[in-house]
Amino acid sequence: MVQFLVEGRELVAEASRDLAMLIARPDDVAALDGCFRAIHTLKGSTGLFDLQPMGAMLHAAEELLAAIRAGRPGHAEDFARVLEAVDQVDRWLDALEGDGALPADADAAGRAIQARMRDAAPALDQAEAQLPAVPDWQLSAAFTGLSGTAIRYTPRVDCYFAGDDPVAIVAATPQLIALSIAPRDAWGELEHYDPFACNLVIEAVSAAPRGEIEAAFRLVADQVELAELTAAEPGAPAGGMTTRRTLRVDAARIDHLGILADELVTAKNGLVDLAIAAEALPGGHTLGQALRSRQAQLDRLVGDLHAAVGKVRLAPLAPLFARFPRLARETAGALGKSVRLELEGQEIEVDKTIVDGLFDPLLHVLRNALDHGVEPVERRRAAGKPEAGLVRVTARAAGDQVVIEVADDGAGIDPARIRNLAVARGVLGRDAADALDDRDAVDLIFVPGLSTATTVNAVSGRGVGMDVVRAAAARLGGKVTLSGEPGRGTIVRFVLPMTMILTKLMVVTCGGERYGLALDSVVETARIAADRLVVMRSRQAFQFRDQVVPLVILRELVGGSSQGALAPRGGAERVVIAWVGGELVGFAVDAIVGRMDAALRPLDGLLSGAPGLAGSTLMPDGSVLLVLDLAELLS
Amino acid sequence: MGTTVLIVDDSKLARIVLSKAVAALQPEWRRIEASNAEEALAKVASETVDVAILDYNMPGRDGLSLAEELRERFPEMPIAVATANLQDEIIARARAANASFVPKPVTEDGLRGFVSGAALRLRSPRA
Amino acid sequence: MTVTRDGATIRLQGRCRVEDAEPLASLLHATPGLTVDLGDCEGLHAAVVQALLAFAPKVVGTPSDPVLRDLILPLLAGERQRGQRPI
Repeated sequence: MVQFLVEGRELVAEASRDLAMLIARPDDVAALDGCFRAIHTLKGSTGLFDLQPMGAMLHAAEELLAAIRAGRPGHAEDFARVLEAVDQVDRWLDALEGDGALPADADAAGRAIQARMRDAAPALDQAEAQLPAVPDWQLSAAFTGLSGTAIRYTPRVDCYFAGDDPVAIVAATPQLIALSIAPRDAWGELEHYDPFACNLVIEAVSAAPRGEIEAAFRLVADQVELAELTAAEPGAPAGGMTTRRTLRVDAARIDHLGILADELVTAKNGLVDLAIAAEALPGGHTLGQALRSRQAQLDRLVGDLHAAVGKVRLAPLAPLFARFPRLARETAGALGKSVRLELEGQEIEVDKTIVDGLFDPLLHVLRNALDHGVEPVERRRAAGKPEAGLVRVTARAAGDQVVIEVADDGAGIDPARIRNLAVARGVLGRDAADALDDRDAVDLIFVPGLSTATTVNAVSGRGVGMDVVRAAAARLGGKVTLSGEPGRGTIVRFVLPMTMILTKLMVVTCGGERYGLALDSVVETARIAADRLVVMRSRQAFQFRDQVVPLVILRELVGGSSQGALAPRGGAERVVIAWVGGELVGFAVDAIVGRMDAALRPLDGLLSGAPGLAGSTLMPDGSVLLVLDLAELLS
Repeated sequence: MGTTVLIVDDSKLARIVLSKAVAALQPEWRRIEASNAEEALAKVASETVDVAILDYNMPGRDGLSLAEELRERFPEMPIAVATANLQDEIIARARAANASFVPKPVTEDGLRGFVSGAALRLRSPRA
Repeated sequence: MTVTRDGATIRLQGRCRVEDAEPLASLLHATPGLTVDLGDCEGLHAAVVQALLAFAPKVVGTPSDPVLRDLILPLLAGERQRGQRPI
């Protein structure tokens, strides 16, 4: 079901995008094919669960689209009705995600939309559907080189109950020259095998004229796809369209993979020493040379691997953006406003963590734009603006950052009003507020408790403010700012890192816990014998090279144990010497475990805001490593 | 509990043929008959009907619109429409009402698929 | 009855209909390793074909029906890997 929800969202997004295009240009064939395919696939998956109202509604949508593909002229209203069905599916997906079931009124709601679509579809033309030149499904390899008509028949799950015998139907096809029968879904646990749930996909090739084939499948036409095969290009994938294949992988596994790639870098460096050692051996020169050349080759491959693993985490913004049109339509509808939403830059790829973390803050900003930004129709008319407001959500790459903007052409934000509000809410004194320039005044909107809405409504409410948006951006390692002009509109700009930056860490243990320290601040690690320690202004210190370096017992600072005494083992102390705030400081630790590259995650939950912690990261064994912010620890 | 099949056809002869075919396939099914849509609706109102086989071409309301009405009331009932006239529009409407087709003239073989499927559905807890 | 068990062999005889899928599936599930003999089979309902594909028993016998023999038998005797599409 989880998989269904994920795929369902993608298919809804695909269909919505294509339908939006079709509403603007009803003759866009590629968009028509695209949304037909998406709806068809979506419908197919509903059969696997008990989602009859969704299946029935999508079936009606598919039929309407099929009729248009077959040559009936398609109008914007047709596509708007199908879009209504797709929006309904999206809402049902929300319900499935939340409650695990369709809402109680699903059947009635689905039927209502179905009825509207049926009205949109007058009697189907007799016009023959144009056969795709190549099938848009992957043909069985056994059919390679055959010519004729390829048939793909996916019987309904409950077809046995309706009295259908799909094998008999296919067997009755004239001039059958090839047949393949496969499970539609993997058989799974045969313990629970259901003998009467049809789980077959039947593919066949027939040399008969198309009309005869169609006649054979007449009663199940809704479950059959046909395509012309030519011997020249058998089974070529759909009309040159390059579809990106995707695979879902647990993010933790990818992190693990990244760490392994790093370790490989270290491991392969060992080969250099080995090569040198081999060359030094009597008669070992040739072997050494060979090792070196192999090492160079490995070096290149490991480098490529490293880069490739880094890219795995990148995901396009498209699925995120695709959720906004419906939400914008609903919000605008609830507010009685007319708003056009433009999206741009969906193809930009950023770290998956960032894509996931952006939904809530972006949605919040979008709602604000619709609610507080875009003015009611009368006011827009009075201001000489077009009645429909325009909200643009755009993304663009800027170096290793991504800039995402939500811009509206609404009333904008009046700095004077913010100043007054800040004073009224007790955020600032009058003088302090007046001393702020306009930009800083507008920035006050991110202060907790300050919202420009003077009334509470169902759309934005007043509970969650822009401070939450700013906090969310910060958690993702980014910033959010607001600008605009009174009367001309507002722009909320997020600047975020494109990748979660890898930080090199040294891992140490202290009081039985492991901690990470930023490696770039570490100068050296050393063993300092107890007799080298001196006391300087009541603090421990030691001579390091030509200077005296203060010694900090790390386990005291992290509060692991109260016994702050030096560990006397062997009379020497394990010390990590690091630059902290422009000075060298020695940190006594129990042991130094190793080094690693890690994507530092901002802290959340209980630990958020804990002083001295820079973040956390996942260890290869799945445990969480806390990363210390040494400067903050000492302050 | 026994299974009751309702056979609706305006022709007495057709009802006899259908009835015999059902009897050959499912001898223990109880068969009741109606000669038009109104009579059929009266029957389903007065007793439990598990399966319905309807002639498409009847004076007054045709079998397909009867099937649509029965489907509204009995979401799970196996319903078949018997017809010799397979137009695409009829197929589409029957599909929408989740009704099966039985070719006319009705034979034991032509009815077998629907009757077997109906028997399975009535037996199955899923249905 | 068109599904009969004879020692380690299940015989499918005559026209196997949709109802036969259930006894066949339970036999194949209860006793792995049974062989299915299609020698006297005259037709297989899709539900029966599906059960044979899912449980993937060894299939013997050559039915006389041409569709069964030439198109369906190779699918049951060929791709033996359960759960995989013959691609």
